[in-house]
Amino acid sequence: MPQRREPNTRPIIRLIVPAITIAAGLSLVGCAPSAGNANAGPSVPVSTEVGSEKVELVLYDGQGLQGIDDALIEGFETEFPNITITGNYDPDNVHAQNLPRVMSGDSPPDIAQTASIADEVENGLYLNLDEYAEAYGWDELGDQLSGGRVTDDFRPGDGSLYAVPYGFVFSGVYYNVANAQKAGVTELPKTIDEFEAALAKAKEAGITPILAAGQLGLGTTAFQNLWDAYAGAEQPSEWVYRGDDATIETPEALEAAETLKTWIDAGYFNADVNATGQDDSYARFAAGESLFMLQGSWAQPILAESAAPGSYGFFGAPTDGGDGPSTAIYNGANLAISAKSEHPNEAAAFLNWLRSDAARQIVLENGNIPLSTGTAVPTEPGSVTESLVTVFDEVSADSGLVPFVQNATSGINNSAWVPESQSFFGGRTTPEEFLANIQNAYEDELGR
Amino acid sequence: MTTIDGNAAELAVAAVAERAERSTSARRRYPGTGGRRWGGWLFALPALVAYATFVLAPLASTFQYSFYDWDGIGASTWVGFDNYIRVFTDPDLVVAILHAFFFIIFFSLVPVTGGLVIAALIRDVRSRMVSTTARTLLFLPQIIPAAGAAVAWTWIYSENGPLNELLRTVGLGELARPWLGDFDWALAAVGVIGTWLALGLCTVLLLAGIGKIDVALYEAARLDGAGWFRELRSVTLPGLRAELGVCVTITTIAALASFDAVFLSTQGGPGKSTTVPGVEIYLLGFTQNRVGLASALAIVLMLLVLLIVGPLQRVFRERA
Repeated sequence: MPQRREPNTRPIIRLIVPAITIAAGLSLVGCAPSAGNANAGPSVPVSTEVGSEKVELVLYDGQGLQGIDDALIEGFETEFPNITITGNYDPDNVHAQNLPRVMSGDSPPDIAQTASIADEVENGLYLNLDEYAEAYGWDELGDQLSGGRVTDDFRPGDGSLYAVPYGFVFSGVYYNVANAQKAGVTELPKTIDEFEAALAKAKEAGITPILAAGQLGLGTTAFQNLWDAYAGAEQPSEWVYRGDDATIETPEALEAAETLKTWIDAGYFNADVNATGQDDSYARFAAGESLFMLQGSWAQPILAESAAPGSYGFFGAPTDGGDGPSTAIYNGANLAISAKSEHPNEAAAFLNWLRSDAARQIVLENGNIPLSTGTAVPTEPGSVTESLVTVFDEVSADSGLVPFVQNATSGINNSAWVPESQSFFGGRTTPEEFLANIQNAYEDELGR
Repeated sequence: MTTIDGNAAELAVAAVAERAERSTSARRRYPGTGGRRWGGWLFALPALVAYATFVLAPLASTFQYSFYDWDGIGASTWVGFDNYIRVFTDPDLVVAILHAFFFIIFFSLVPVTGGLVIAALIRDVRSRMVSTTARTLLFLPQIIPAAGAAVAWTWIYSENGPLNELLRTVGLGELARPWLGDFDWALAAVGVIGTWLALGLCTVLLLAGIGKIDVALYEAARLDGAGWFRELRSVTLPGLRAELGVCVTITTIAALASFDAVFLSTQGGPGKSTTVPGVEIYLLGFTQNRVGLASALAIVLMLLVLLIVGPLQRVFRERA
């Protein structure tokens, strides 16, 4: 090595300066960055007839739903042999992040799982499905469609239809049978008071009362269960659907945070809650570490494989006393049609087929809760799946379904719920601060 | 004391003179090409095109985006310096930048000092097998992707992981804690992952540098009665100026621009206690769809790196 002198930084600066000058020039002449699309109607007349011409469609979804999607596609193709659907899948978080970019491309997939539907509609990515809803009679699905609706001023939960659900996931309480016996919990708790009594018994018996995966901010579930129970479905739903002046700083939410604080202080959660990942929590619950785990229906297929049959069960989130409404945190798997699809009629035929009994059976077999259409999908008596469907039907009939608070905006989970729930569980913030910080992030993201 | 110092000064002078001689002879061997200088650019053209396309153009776009409020798809609004103001006023973003500076201790200071000491020790080891084994073991972390390392460390740090088990076995059970979930310890715990990743690289780089130092200098120092530390200070350290410069530069950039180790071990949590600019840029740009703010933070991060690394280059440049 004859030359030992280090290169100095000046050449880099010499290159950066022109680069920045060019960029500055671009910004000043006003070529503002944008990849947007104009909202356009269907490219062909709306029809429920799909004919017999060969048509190829592409569906884009997260890998978490790949099993269910592939099975649904197979079922659909059997009935509509001229239509072929190819599924493209990315890991769930990648799907959620890439979706707007994938859908804004030149030849996007025809059908896609929505992520942050209001933002996607605002960017003109999806076809307005109102005409199809009328032609097929989808409106009989009622409230189950609210996750697919967006208002004219781009708020989710109401307005025109842009996506159709084929199944739901919702959250409740998994319990370990042996630990319940050991702790002397003989009856499944229905109210918050009974639930707290069970937590105290477990603690006394040396069993972790609740196992939570706080590394992903899933302590939030405990908070939302309590908020929903105290306030009923409307207040939290209004907040998630970005209602005018919606706030989380309500007496009911404060009561929820205060109750949660007493649980945290009493040591009712696993000591390493903030360092526990979700997969880890499934494995530890299956191994019998805790009495309860506040988790969603999506955990059932995983637990069914890792835990012994009959070693655990499921019940709905506790209510606030006897008259309190039963509630559940839920989310729909909603499929939308690309605004640029060349075959919207065929894509709509697939969406319509998702209401069929065959499709609903597939949805249930793959661990999601099927659409409620008036006829029941058969389940194995005494199984956890049966409990899941029963609880969902009850809550649904009670109008107690509340969307996940983490879905209020596309970024609020990472910007607020994860760090703030960790700080709250770590004793760094008071209930008031916890709610105020969440509300600040909410207003900041919505530009209020 | 005085005599040793005098000797050391002499040694240093000799070393510098020798190096000056080497570099002049190098210049003689590769004479300047004068008029043909522009011909060289032709050969560099393919690389320059790639550099312009994949480095300069994105850099220019990032700079442009940083003045807009943009979700990455729809229409964008010109907001002037608002994004930059936010980078320096939003407590979450400021704390991320401070963490990056804190990481310089774990990603740079500790590995470089540790690497220097280990390299000097390995040099003293007579057995070839021992020194080769030590070198290989220390360099291993460099081969493992940081992402994989972070996953392994998550397990080591977990509530019932090896670290806590070890503490409990030796009777320090009170210290056991879920390290990555602890507000006070998570940042340092992530820092240790960085130390582990960088130590081997520094050691191997510095060992290579030591190998190039004239053995006669060490012999002379020994004869003059220099001890191990004196030798390290007066022969090894001055001889390693260039290598130390490389080590410090690479590891400081790794500290300021850290992402993978942090993202895969804590995602910036608990709370915001381990967040760094790299993680914030990713979260802002890709999960919160705030491309403008993410770009502004990226530009600030780049300028910070240049501001820190630029002067470092000057410090470690050899006095000719």
